[in-house]
Amino acid sequence: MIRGIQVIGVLVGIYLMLQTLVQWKRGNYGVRKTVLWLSLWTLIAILFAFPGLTSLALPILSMENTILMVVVVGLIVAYALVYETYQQAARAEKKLTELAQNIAIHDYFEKARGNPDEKDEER
Amino acid sequence: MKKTKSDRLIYVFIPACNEEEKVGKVIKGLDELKLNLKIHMIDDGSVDRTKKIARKAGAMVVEHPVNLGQWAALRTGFVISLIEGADVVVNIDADGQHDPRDLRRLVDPILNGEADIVIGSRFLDGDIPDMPKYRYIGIKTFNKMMEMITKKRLTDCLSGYKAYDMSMVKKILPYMKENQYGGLEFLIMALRHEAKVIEKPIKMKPNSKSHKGKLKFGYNLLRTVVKEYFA
Repeated sequence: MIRGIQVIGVLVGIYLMLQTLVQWKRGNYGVRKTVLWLSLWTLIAILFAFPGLTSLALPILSMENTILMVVVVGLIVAYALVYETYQQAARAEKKLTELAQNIAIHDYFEKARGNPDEKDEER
Repeated sequence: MKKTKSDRLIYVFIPACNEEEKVGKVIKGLDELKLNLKIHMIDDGSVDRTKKIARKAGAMVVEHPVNLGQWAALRTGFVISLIEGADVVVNIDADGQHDPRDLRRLVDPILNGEADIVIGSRFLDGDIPDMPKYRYIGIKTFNKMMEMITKKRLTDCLSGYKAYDMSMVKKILPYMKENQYGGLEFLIMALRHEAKVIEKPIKMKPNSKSHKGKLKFGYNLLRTVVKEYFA
């Protein structure tokens, strides 16, 4: 018998797959990122649809309890995602800093050359 | 043709964020030295009258569109100095903690070829400046870590009052990775390039507004030092 939570899990998985495809279509994701996310959401949807499959992984991971395995694997994936997000934020901060510095230097030399723009207005 | 001591261009950079009360005094203090200084205030995203006051006091203003931090401001200053051909760069705080009259003491060893970097030390004359205990312990800890990494004993590696010979900056800057907390990275790299780093005693007034010594600041400095240790 199919349980409600399975239906919700599969629907969420499909929704996230569609979201990933939308991001790919808009050019926000490259092929690698799209494949990675699609694989993850597909796997989640399949595991919700056929929860019995998780028991196949139990001996491989040397675990006895399915729920515990799902929680542990979920935590590992969550840690990986947090780390990836941290890396991305650090990269974005570095780029932003460089961009702001370049703007400041550009404006400084423009003003020194006698081309004050509207930014020169004193507050 | 080699420049004489008096021909050499000295650039002073004052990173400032919302320092309308003190920045004017600092610029005037520098002006009164009657040295051939080019004074720049790096406005690090101020929302008050800091820029206006700095311009009025006679400084050239460089504007960061957003707040990037003190090291990022100095880095901007370094780039400008390299493009404009400065010989010596001095970094001084905008909050009035540093005495502009100490500037000559920092610059002279560079002009005389005795040093590549001169650190204005708050501890060199034996006094303990008026600062919170945790900050004092933090500074001492970083001094020790620097000594472990570079074998150079310093009393105030975190001082914000430093003078740099631009030939050293030119060597180090392209290799620097840290954008916001690069003060110690720069010092470690310079010492690895066999730079002559010396300290001179300076006077410092306490400032309760200072952000230095806060947990995030300390963490980022530690991260930079650890990264450099394993580099």
